[in-house]
Amino acid sequence: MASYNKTTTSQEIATDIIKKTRKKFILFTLLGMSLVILVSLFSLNLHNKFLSKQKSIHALHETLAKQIFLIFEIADYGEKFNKMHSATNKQQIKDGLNALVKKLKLENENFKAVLDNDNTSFSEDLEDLMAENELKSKIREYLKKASELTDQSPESSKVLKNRINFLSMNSKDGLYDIFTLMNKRIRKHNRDSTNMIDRMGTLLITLCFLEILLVWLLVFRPLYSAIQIQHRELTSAMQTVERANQTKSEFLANISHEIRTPMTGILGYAEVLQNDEDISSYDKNRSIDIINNNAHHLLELVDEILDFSKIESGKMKIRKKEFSFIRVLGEVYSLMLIKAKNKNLNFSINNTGPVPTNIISDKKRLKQILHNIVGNAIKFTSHGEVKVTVNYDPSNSKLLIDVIDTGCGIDDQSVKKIFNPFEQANNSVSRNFGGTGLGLVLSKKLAIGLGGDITLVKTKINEGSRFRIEILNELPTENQKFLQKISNDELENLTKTTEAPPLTDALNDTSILIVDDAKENARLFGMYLKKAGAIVDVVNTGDDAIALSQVNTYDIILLDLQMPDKDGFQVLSELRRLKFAEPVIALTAHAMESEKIKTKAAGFNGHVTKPVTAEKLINVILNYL
Amino acid sequence: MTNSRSQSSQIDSDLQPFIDEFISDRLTELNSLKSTTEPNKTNDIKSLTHKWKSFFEPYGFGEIMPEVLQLENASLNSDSELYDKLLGDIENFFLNLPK
Repeated sequence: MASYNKTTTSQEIATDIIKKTRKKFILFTLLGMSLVILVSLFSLNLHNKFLSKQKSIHALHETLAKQIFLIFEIADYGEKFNKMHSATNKQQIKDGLNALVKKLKLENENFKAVLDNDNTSFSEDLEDLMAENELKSKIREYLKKASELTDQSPESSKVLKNRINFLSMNSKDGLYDIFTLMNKRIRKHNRDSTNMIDRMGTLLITLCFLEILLVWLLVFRPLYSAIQIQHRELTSAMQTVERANQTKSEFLANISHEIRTPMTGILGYAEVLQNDEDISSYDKNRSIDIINNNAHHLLELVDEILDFSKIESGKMKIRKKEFSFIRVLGEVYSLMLIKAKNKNLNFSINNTGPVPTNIISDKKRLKQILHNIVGNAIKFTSHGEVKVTVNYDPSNSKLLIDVIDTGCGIDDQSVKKIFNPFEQANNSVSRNFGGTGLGLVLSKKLAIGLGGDITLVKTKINEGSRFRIEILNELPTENQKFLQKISNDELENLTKTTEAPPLTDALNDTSILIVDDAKENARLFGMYLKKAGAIVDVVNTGDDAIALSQVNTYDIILLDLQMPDKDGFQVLSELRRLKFAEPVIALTAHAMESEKIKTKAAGFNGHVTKPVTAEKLINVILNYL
Repeated sequence: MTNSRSQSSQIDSDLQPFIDEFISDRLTELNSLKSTTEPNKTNDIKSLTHKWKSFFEPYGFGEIMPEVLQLENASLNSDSELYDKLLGDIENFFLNLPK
């Protein structure tokens, strides 16, 4: 049965089902037609065969009857000849006899021709009968003698008489018997053939019924089954869509709550800052911190929703390249250690075997997965510890990262749906811990995108859970180096001491459109981004940008705000109207904060103040890929 | 304005081939301003300084940025006396760059 994900529209489902039905209809119709044609051809062939046999029997019977009649006439002439005494009369008899012999000869040749043309068992049987009774030789001799009668050479009357007597005798006593025998045999074949035709009628009626049965079994029954299956599929798909709609509604309600909570905090504390002129420095800083934290929470929320939307629409890009896996672990360790310490939890990263120092995968997505799964473990653990165990399976080049916590665990009912989008273990999770319910499903989809998976290995209420993250390492074995033992102190120091990663190739194969009326800026940004491996197009007007965005595919657009004809805001509005869904970053020389608010409100995904260094520009872009 | 001020050598080598064109374009822009009359002149200066701010530094002309910012302020305040002086300074800067 087909499965329909939650983004499949009902029109797509219907089209899919119609396509399938059409295919089956064509297939079974062809099958039915072939069957009818085959049976009809078989019947026609059978009919032709019997008709042909019947024609042969009729022709043989006719020629045989004529021959018998001629033999009788020849015998009759012989008797007349014996009684004649006048030479003139005898000559007349002889001429008449001669004509009869010619006719007999002709009929005999016809008889042979019919036999030769017929290749059924019936003609073979007659041939056998003729051979058995030496009919051919007897006829040959008979015709030879008869031919001699027509000779013009003078012969004695005695010789002539003997010949005529021979013909007369052989006609009655020899050939007649054999011909009669053959006639009987032909009549027998005729009876058989007639019976067979009768039986053929019955056979054809049976075939007809069989054909109807086969057409039902092979055509209508499967078609009926197909319709039934598709009805079930449609019902199931409709239920899935309904469930998806319901889940999305619940998600929207949840997300509205998630957005409203930090938003209320932001608005409330902003109002305090605005209205309370006597606010203490401590309260002011605290209010700013709260606004800041809530804003970050909102941003994370929006990022998760965007990522989920990208994955669902197949637009999420995986960018694989070599990077330090140990450094990623260090970054995760440093970040998560703070969260764990805030909750008085022990946190550690260990390994149970050699771990590759460098791997080929998508660093950003791997970090996203680790942050999410480890972050969840910390979030759902109120006491005890969170432990990350790293292992490497060289047989399939997979990193196996187990995230073990001593948290609240997941009940049996919820285990089934934790990897479903928009669903958390239960509604109380959302109330108590917050979150969109997208993190786990996002991580799982990302892990699958990285050639691995995420599974829940075990969980027990109030005892904790163990999740396994599998990630494929595409670095060739011969280039690999391994770390025998991960030290948590070293991991922590790693992030403090390591330099920022180089920006070369940071934007490998990223397609970017730069829109700036100042050729100096366009040239400059183009140079920066090309050096980072991006594929760059540059235009100097908004109209060109709009036109190019409809022809080419861009991962991101850098759009100058102040341009002579159409400004950046107008261009953005037009791009969005034309369904350009990728990030658009505002480029502006205005450094004021109000400008940032304005661009954000207009729907720009990011904001870059010019002049900008290559590093800053690339980092901004990387945030949106 | 003295000849001691110059373009920074700390610019990307890939930009070096475009520096002559860059200077020539700036002088053209400055010249066209001379023939422009008020009130268009103030608006043109605002527009130009806004543009210059975004790329003078990466092309190695950060040294003249204080004058550009002053020029922008002068145009915002419609202080024609000051911005005429600053336009002259900036033009001299580009004209007197060491070869």
